[in-house]
Amino acid sequence: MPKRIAIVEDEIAIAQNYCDALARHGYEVSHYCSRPEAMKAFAVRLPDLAIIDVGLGDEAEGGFDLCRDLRVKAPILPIIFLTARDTELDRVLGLRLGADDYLTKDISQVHMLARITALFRRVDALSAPQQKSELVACGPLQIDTQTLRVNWALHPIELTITEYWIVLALASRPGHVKNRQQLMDAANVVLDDNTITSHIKRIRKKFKAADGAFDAIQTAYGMGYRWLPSHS
Amino acid sequence: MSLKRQLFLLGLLTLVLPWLALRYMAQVDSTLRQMRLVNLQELTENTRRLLLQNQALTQRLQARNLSVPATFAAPVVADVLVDGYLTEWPAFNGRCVLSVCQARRFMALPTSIQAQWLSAKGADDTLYLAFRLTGLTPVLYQPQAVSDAVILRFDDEQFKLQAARSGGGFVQRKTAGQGRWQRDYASEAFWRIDNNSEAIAIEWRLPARLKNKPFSLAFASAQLGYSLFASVNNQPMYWAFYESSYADSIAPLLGPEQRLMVFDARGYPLVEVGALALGYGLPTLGVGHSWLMRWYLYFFNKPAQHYQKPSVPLAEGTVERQQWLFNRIAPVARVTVPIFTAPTNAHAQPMGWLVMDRQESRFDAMLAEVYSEFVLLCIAFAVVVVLVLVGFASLHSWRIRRLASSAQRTLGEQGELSAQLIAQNFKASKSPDEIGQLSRSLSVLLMRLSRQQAYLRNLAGKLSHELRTPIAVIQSSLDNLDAQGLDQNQAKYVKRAGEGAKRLSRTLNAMSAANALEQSLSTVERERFDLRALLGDIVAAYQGVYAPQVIVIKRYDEVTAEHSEPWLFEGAPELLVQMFDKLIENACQFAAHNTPIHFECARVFDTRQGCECIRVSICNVGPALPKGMEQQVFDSMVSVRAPTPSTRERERHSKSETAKPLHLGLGLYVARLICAFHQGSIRALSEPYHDDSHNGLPHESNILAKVTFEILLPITR
Repeated sequence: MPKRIAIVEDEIAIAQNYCDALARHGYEVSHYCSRPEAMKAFAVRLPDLAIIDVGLGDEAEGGFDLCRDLRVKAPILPIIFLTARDTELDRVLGLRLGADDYLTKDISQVHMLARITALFRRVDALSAPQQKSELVACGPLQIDTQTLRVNWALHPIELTITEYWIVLALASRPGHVKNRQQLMDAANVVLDDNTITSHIKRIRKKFKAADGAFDAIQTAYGMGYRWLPSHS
Repeated sequence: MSLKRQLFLLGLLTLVLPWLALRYMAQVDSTLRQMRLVNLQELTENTRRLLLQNQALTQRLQARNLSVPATFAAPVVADVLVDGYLTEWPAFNGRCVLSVCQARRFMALPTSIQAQWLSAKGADDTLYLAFRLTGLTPVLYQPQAVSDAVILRFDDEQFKLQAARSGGGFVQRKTAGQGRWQRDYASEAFWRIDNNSEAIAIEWRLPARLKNKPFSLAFASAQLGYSLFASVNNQPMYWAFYESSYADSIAPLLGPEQRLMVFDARGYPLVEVGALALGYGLPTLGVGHSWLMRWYLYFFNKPAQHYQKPSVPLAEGTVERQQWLFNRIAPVARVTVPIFTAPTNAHAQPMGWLVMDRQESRFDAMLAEVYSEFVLLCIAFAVVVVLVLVGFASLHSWRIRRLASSAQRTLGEQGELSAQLIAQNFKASKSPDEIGQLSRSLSVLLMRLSRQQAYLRNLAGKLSHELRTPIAVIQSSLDNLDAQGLDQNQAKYVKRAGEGAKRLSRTLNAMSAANALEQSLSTVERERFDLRALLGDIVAAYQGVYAPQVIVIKRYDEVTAEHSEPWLFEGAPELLVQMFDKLIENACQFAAHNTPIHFECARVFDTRQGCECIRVSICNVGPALPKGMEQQVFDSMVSVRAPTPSTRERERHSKSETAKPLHLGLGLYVARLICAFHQGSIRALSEPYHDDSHNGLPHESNILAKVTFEILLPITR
C-alpha cells in the first residue's frame, strides 16, 4: 500500500511539481492550499507524512500553527517544513514545534526524496518489532533501545526521535568522533550541517537541564562530535 | 581656518573705529583751529586799532621808520664776556654782513673773504658789537706801520680798535674837539686771532650813552688795502632795539598765553609784551591723555612748523598772515597784521607790523581729554565687539563641533548606522537658529540613512526569500522534465538549466547567510572552551579538506612559558569556526600556486586593550589588496581582490557551475560580524612579497603580495 503524503503549499506550481515527483516515486499525494483546508482533511484521515510550507496564503505563519495542531493530533507523524524562509529563527522554531526536518525550497527533488525516504525508514524502524531488548549504559547515561527512553543519572531525558538516534550513535562508541554524515546515517535522516548543530545544541540543553555539569558531548571542530569516554 | 579665527579676523575690522574717530577728531580740530585763528585775527585787528590810538607809540614808530639805515641790537640774555670767543652770540650765523666800499672803488669783495658782524644791547643799555672775519691775514699793530683796525664813527667822535698781538686789543677814541687819538677806557674790546681757522673774532663793548647816536662801522684791512663797511657807502646807521617803555601801555590789552610784538616798517621789533606757556609752563595733561594726544598730533594734526619767534628783520614778503606753529603738545596760533595810520590802498607801505601769538593750552588740554575719552571709548567698543564676536564664534564653533562629534559617534566602526546608535548619541537641537535647523536636518538624514542601511542589510535576505519560490518552481519543473526521459540534446539543456538554477540558489543562500548570522547573533549562547585546542583541531581539518594546499600552523604563548596551557576563552566556538572557515577559504582561493598558508596563533598581552588576547594571523601569498581598501574588504558585498592566474585557472577548470566559487564579498563580512560579537578586531594587511625561491609561476611574482588577516580576540575573565 503506497504511503500517503500531504503537501500543504499555497504555491500551486511548486506543489504540483512536488506532487508529480512524489507520485512518480509511488507515493499517494494530496495537496492542500491552506491550513483550514488541510486541517479539515487531516480531521478525516491523517497522512503518513506531511510536507508543510510556513507561509500559507494570508497566514504568514500558518504552517507553524498547522504543525503545532498536527503534532497534538499525531505525536509521531513525520512532518517536514518546506519553505522559502531560511532564517535561523524560523529553522529553530520549526524544529521546536516538533517538525522532523526543515527544508528550504531550493532543495532538489532528489535531495528532498532522500529525506522523505529516510524519514519513512526511521518510522518503519520504530514500528518494526525489536529483535531483542538492549540497554546501552554509558556512565550516568542509560538508553533503553526497546522503549527509546533515555536517562541521565537516573533523570529521564525527553528526546525527539532524531535526537534519540544521534545520542545513541554517539554514546554507543564513546571517544569516537562521529561526523555529521555518520550522525545523519545513524538517525536515518538527511539533515544539513546547521540542522545537525541545532540538534546537538538542543540535546546538550536537555541534558544540562537535568545536570548542570553535563559536558559529555564534545565538539571536534572541523570533524564532528564525540561522546567523552570519561563519562563512560 | 576655524570659524573662531575667521570671526576674530573679521572682528579686527572694528579697529577701524578708533581710526575713524581720530579722523573725525582731526576734522573737528581743524575746524576749531580755523575758528581760533579767525578769532585771533579779530583780536589782533582790535588790538591794532587800540594801539593806533597811542600817539606816543605811533610817533615813535614813525620816527624809527625814518631812522635809516639801522641795525637791530638784539637784547642779550646775560652779560657778554668780552673775550673774543663769541660764545654769547648764538645767532652769529651771518645774518649781518659787512659790505665793501674801498679806496679803489667798486671792487668786489673776494669770495674767499667772509666778514660778519652783529650788534646787541644789554639790559643796562650797554652796547655790544661782534665781528667775525675769515679769509683775511691779520696785520697787527706796529708803530709806524700799516695795521688792521676797526673804526667806529659817530658824528662827534670816533673809535678805533687795534690789536698788537693775537689776543688782546686796545681802543682809541678821538673827538671832534680833541683832534687826536687817545686811549679810551670807557669801552672794552678784545681781538682774537684763531690761527687754526685763520679767523679774526672781535668783541667790543660800548657805553650806553652811544645808544641813540647814529654810527658807521668799518674794518680797515691792511692786507686788502681798503675797508669793509657795515653799511652801504658807510652811511651812518641808527641803533634799533626793544623799547620797553611802551610795554606798560600795551600789556593791559593782552590776555594770558598771548604775546604781542610790534615791528617797525623795516621789520625790527619795537616792543614785545606777554609770554607763552612754553615748555614746562604748559598745563599738565593726564598720563593717559598725554601719550594719546602726542600720538594724535604726531600722526594727524601736527602743524607743519615748529614754534619760534618771528625772524628779525621781519620780511614782509615772507610773512604769513595766519599760521599755526607746533610748540610741544600745544599748538600756537600766530596772526600778523600790518599797521596803517589811516585807511589806504592795498599797495601802501605799512607803518609797522603787529604779530600776535596765542596759545590756548588749557583749551587744548580739555580737548585732549574729550578726544582721548572718545578714542578710548571707540577702542573699548572695538575690543568689546571683537570679544563678543570671538565668544559668539566660540559658541557656534562649539555647537558645530558637538554636532559633528555626535554625528561621528552615531557611526559604528565600519560606518554602520542604526536607530539605536542615533538615539544614544545624537540628540537634535531644539534651537530655532540655522545650526539647530542643521542639527534637525542631520538627525532626519541620519535616521533616513540608518533606515536605508537597514533596508540594504535586509535586502539580501528579502531578495533571497522572494526568489527562492520561483527558483523552486524552476528547479522542480526541471527535475520533473528530467524524469520524463529526455533525449540526449534535451537532457543536456535541462542539465545546464538545472546547474544555473543551483548556482543562483547558492548565490541566494550566500546572500542570506550573513543576514541570518546577524539575526542569530542575539540568541547565541557563549561558553567557555579551550581555544588553543579548537585552533589545533580546525587547522588539522583544514589540512585535510584543502589538500594539497599546504597550511602551516604555528602556536605560541607570550603570556606564559607553559606552552601546553589551555587558552580558556568565552565565546561561541561554532561561530569562531565559521569565521576561520571563511578566512581559510578566502586564503585558499587567493593563494598563489605552490605557496603555503601560514596559520599563526598566539596568546599575547595587548597593551592597547590592557588585557590578554588571542591573536590569529592567516597569511597567504596572493594578489594584493588594493590600497585604501584594507578596511572596506570587511564590508558586505565587497569583493576587491582579483584572483591570481593560477586561481583563475583553477576556477575555469571546475567541473560544473555549482563547483565554481562565489565571490560575493560576504565571507569577510561574516568574519567581521563574528569578530565583533567576541569584542575582537580584525584587520587586513598587504605587504610586498619578495621571494626569489618562488619559481612556480614567475609571471605572477610581480603582482603577488603577502596578505595577512589578523584577528585579535580579547580574553574576558
